[in-house]
Amino acid sequence: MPVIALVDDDSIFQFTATRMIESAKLARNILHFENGAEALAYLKENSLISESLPDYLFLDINMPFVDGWMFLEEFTSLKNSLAKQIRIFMVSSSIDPRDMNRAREFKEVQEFVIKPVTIERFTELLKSA
Amino acid sequence: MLPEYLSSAIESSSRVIVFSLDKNYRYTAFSSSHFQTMKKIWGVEIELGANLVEILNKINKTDAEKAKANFDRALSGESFTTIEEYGDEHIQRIFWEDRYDPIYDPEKQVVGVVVLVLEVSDRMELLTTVRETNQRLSLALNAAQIGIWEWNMITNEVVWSDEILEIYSLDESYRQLSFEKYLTYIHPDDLEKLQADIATSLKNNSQYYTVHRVILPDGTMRWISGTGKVITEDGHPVKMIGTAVDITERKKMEEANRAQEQALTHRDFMLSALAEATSQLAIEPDIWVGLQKALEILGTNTGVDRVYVFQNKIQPDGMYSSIKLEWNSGEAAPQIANARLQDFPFAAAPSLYKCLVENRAFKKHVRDIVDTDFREVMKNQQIKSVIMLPVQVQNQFWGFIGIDECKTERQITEAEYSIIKSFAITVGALLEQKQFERENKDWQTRYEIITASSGQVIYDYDIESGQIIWSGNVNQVLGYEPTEMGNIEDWGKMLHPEDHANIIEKLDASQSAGTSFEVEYRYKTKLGGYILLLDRGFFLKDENQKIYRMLGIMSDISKQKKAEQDLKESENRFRILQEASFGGIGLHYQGEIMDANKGLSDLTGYSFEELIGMNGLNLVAPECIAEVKEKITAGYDKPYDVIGIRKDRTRYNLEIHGRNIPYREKVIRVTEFRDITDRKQNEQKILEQNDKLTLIADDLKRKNEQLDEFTQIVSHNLRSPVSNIISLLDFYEKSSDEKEKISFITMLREASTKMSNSLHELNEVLKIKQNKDIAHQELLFENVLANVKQQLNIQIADSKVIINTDFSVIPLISYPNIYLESIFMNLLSNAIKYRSPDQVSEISFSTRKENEKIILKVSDNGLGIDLKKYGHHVFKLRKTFHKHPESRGIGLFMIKNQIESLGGEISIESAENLGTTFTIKFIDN
Repeated sequence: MPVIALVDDDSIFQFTATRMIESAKLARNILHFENGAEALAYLKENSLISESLPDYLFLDINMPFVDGWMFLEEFTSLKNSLAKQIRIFMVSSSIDPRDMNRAREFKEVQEFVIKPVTIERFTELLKSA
Repeated sequence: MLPEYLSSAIESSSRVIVFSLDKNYRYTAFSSSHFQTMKKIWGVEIELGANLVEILNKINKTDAEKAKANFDRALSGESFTTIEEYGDEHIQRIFWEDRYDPIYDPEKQVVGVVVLVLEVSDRMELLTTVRETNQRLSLALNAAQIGIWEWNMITNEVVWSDEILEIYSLDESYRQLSFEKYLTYIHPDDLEKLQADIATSLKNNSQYYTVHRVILPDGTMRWISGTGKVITEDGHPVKMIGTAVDITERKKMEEANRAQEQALTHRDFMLSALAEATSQLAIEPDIWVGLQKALEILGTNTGVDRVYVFQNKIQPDGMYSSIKLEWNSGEAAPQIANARLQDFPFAAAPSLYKCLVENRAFKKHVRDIVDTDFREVMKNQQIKSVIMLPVQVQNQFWGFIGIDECKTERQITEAEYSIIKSFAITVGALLEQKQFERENKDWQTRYEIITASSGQVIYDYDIESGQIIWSGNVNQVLGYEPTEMGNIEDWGKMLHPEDHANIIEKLDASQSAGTSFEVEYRYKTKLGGYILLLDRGFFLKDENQKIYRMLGIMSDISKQKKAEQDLKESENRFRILQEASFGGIGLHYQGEIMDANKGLSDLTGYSFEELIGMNGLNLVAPECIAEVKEKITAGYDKPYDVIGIRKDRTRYNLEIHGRNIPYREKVIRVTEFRDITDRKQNEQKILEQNDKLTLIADDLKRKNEQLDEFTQIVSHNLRSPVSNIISLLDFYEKSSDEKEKISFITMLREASTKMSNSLHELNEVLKIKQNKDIAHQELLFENVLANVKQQLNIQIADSKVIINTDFSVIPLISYPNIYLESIFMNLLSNAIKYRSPDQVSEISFSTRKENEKIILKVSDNGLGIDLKKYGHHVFKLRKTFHKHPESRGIGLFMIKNQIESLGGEISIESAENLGTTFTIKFIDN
């Protein structure tokens, strides 16, 4: 079972997402990060420890400090030093097509997921991936 | 023992020394002279039986061995003679001639040796002297480079000394050679005489002296001075000994001297010939007669066969030359009538033409001439050598002088050449002079013709005497003969009474100033009427600067005046035309207006009379004068705009279009003036419209940006809590646990509060956007800030920040109070919030004015932010860059909207850990 990381400053999303993933038994472990900076720090710290690194990372766009875009910029240069390939889902309440297009420019982003995310959607995403 | 008679005979000759030794070198006999000699040279007294070798051994071992060897030789049976030196070197050593003979016993056995001795010191000394003399002689000969040769007639061999070999540059193999071989070196021309000399010398037993040439094996020739003497033996010649000295250099010098002397003599001779020839040229009034005589003198003196002159003739197909004069020695056939030389084309002699036209001499043996035709012409005249020199008249190739040599080929000497060249130049100069004289005469004639035909009277007035010389054509103009014109007083009488005083005054003024003059006056003709004369002239000064002469030209300008009148009328017509055109036209020379049309008067308000003579620059505004001046100076010929100024000092937009045109030897400027006020106004309107459009475009752009922002706000800030609410409601519905349900409700409330807040903020922003006409108040920065500080009282006290303010330059602004309060509130609270924990925090507020805008600057020494990373987010909603509990990311977004809604701008400068500066530009109403 995979390790999943949730990067979002929204505590309610963290709560609902965790609950859904757990109830569907989709993850071995769930990592929580309030913003991009925390997530990056963790990845750097555990870059060589394969089992600590997440397999999937749900990334919010709008976050204080280091937002989703800034995370992606830095992740692009970081990913080759990681012991594991991480699949990223961009998760946002935005329905702005410019955000979607921008996300598409990062080949690291597996899919652009619009909130709210249901348990079926989580299951679908993690099974198809 | 010797017989008694022999002994006494020996004893009687003191010069003869005799002694004998036995086989053991012991004395068996000796003459008393030997005893004496031994005592004299060795200091010993000998006695019979004494061993001579032993004696000598004690004194001089070398002599002893030498003597012993001779004794042994005799003891072995040999008879011989030696000359040797013996003696104690401390006493005396002498040369002796010794005769050794063995002594035999009756059985023919050698039993001893007898030695006969003669003293030969004198002879030896002589020999030494001869040897030394020979050496000295040899040295002397060598030093003088005198060679010695010896011809042994018996062996027929010639032996040469070192010096001869040196003189002839010959190697050792030539030292000895046969007499016949020797003779082959003699120059053929000198051989006969040398052989005769030698024969005579042999016959008469006399010495001969000779100077002859030798040709050396390497082909060089040398002059040799020598002597030879016969040596005879028994009255028969056996040898000939001689000397040889190389005198080549001396010969060369002698020859050079002789040649020079000859040349000098010849030159003198030639020079006098030239002088004579030239004087003939000068004396003879007819140059051709003079030239003929000169040719004769030249020919006779140079001893050539022919001297002649050719003159060039230019014809359509090229340059020709014709024979003009010839002198002939009588030994060659005259050529003056040779048809081929009448119009000889240079085309047939290009080599000659090239030489002559470049002013060089043509000096050739006829067989060397390259041009076939030319060579044949020369050959037909039996010419062997020729020299031709160009004659130049006024630097033009006029013709040439030539000299033919028909008997033999001859090299013209440098001296002859220079003489002929001088002659050619003299002829050229003379022809030039003649030509000048003729031309001068021609000019006079031409001048007469011109003055007569032009109708201009020339006069020459001698001021002192009052006499006037008039040119011959005066009668054609005024009707009087020159003699009838009379003097200055007569001239005055004929002036028109109305012009008289004025003209006299003008001429007097010109005379006293010494300047030239140009006057017009009416003059009475012989027919009685008046004609209008233009009289131009000047004054001549003598060496004391005193004016003594007046020269002038008069012309009848009655007709010209009429023409001028016609011109004026035509100009008038032109003026009418140009006045009908729009705009003003002015003609000016160096700024001064010479002419103008009515348009210019209408445009400027000045009358035509006022404009004429006025400086054109007065028609433009003072600030434009420099530009206009520059354009005039540069001859600028495109239209350009300035501010015009009318007589009534009103200003108007003026387009000037000037152009330089030549007019009566001056360059004047025609300038068109055009009032372009209407055009200017239209331009201004367009500019204003443009500005408005730009403003509208800016506004649209900003609105677009704001719209983008709203989309972002709606997407993120509103949709985010909505999506949470949907999720939570789903959870709530599916849950059966009451406790869990309560926690979902709590979270639902949280989400809805967040949504409500976002809506509220959005509303605030929308209010700002819509509220452009919000009321402005006159605000003191100081007061508004004080109010904000009051509200943030606690934070300021807690953080211990120092707040500096400087509103002294711009203390006041017209602005909505709540906006300015909001700006101060947000910036101050931000600065406090993000202060540096490591140092005392300072926040400065100041205002100033820049480009009509009020600038508010707020800077701190706080944490700062990395603008490279976060710059694009600074003024966005809900953007925070610090993990700070109070970061809400709303303040900067709000004040930016407030500022921009009223046309202002806000910008940020920041560096991490150094601080942040916000700059706000307000539009000051």
